[in-house]
Amino acid sequence: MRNQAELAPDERREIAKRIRGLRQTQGQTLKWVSDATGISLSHLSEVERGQSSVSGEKLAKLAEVLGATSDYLLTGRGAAEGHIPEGLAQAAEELHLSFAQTRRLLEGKNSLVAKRASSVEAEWDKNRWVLFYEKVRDIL
Amino acid sequence: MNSPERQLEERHRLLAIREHLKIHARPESPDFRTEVASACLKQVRPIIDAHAHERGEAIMAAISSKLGVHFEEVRNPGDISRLERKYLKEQKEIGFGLLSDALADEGVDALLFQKTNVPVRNPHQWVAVLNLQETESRAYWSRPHEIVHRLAEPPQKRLPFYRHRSENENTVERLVDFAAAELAFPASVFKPLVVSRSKEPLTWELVSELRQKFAPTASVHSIAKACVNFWPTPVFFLTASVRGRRSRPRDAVALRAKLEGNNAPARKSGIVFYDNMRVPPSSPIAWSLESGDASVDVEDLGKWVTSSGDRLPSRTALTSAMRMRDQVYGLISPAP
Repeated sequence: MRNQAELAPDERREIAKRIRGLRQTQGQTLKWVSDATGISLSHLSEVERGQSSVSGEKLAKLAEVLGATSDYLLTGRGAAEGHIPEGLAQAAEELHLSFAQTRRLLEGKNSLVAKRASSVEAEWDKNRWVLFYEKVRDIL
Repeated sequence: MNSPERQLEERHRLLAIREHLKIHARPESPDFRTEVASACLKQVRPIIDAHAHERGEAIMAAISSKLGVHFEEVRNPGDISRLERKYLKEQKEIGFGLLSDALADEGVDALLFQKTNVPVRNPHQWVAVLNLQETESRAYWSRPHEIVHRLAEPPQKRLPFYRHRSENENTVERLVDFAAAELAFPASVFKPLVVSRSKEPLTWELVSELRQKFAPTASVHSIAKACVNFWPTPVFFLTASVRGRRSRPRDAVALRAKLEGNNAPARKSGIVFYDNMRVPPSSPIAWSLESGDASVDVEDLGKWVTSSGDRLPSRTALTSAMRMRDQVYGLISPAP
C-alpha cells in the first residue's frame, strides 16, 4: 500500500525534498539508502523527485536510516535524530556539553513519545534545553 | 485552528493506522472507525474473554500488562516526586526529567514514555503517566485510550507523534476514543450485565449500581454512554446547563440541553433532540437543576420546543435527572 500517494503533489514534493536533503547532507548515495531500506533504487529515485510515494512502514524505515523521525520527514517539524535541533545545539555550546551528552539529552526528550494535551507544544529554544539539562545533569 | 501541517500529520496518521491494522475502509469512509475498533478489539479478545468475570479495571490491567504498558497515576506533587525518584534517579530514565514541567500544565491528560534503559526486546518498555491532579474523571477512560493508541498505531519510536487533544479538531483522538469505548466496556462482558437489568427503567441509580459492579473508577459520563448504548429500548442521554444561544451566547440564556448519546432504538424512534434545545420547566431535568436533587418522573416530550417553534412528538417519557455541579445529567426513555 502506498499511502503517501493519497497526499497532494505539493506535499509529496516537500517530503521528497527533506529525504533528498538529509541523504545529501550525510553524503550518502541513492544506492546506499536503497540497500539500507530495502526500497528499490528506481522507486527511491521517484520518491526523491516527489513523483512516487512510500508506505508508512517504508517512510519509518527511511527515517531510521537517515537518522530522522517520521514526523520530521512528513512535516519538517521536530528533531531529526541524526540532527541536533538548533535550540539544543546552542544550549550544548553554552553548557560545554560533549556530543554524547547532547545526544543523550535529545534521546531523553524523545523518550516522551506521546503527550495528550489540549495545546500544542512549541519547538524548544535554547533556554528550554538548558532547563531540561539542569533537571537531569546528575545522571547525564 | 488546524494548520496545514497538522492536517497533513493527522491524515498520515490515519493512513498509518489503516495500514498497520490492515483494514479495508479508507479514513473518509463511515465504516473506518468501526473497522478500526473491531481490529483493535480482535487483538485483545482472548484477554477479555479470559477475564470476563472480572471488573473493567482488572481487564484493562491484563491488557496493558500484555502490551507492556505500565500505568502510573499522578494526583499530587508527591506523586511526581515519587515517579522522579523511581524513573529518573533509580532507573536513570532521562525523559522523566520532563515530568514535573509537563504535568504543571493542567491541559495535559497523559504522557507516554518509551524507556531507553531497557533492552529493545524487553516488552515492558512503556510507561503511561495519567494526570489526575485536576480530576479523576478520566482515570478509567485513559487506560483503554492509551491501549488503543498502542494497538492501532505503528510502534511509537518509529512514528513519534505528539497527540494533541482538542475535541473539535483532532480526528485521530476522536477515532481512538471511539475504539476505546469498545475496550472500556466490552460488549461481550458489559452488555449482558446491562441487559440483565433492562426490565427496570434506566435511571441514574441503576447506572450507579452498574458502575460499582463493573468499573467503579469509570466516570459517570462514560458508564452512562455505555449503558445507553447497550440498552434494548429507546433511551437518550442528555446534559443540560444554563447558557445562551450557540451563535449569541449572551442571548436567551436558559437551561439548554446537549445530546451525549443515544442507542439504535432511539435513533429509529423519530425523536430528535436538537443541540442547545431549551429544557422545558416541566421536565425533571429543570427540577433537578433548581432543587439540586435527583429525580425520576414522567414528562411529555411535546413540551420540548425549538427556537423556531418546532416541537418533539407528544410522547410520554420517563426521565431520570441528576445534578452534577453546574450541569444536570438526564436519561430520557420514551414510552413505546
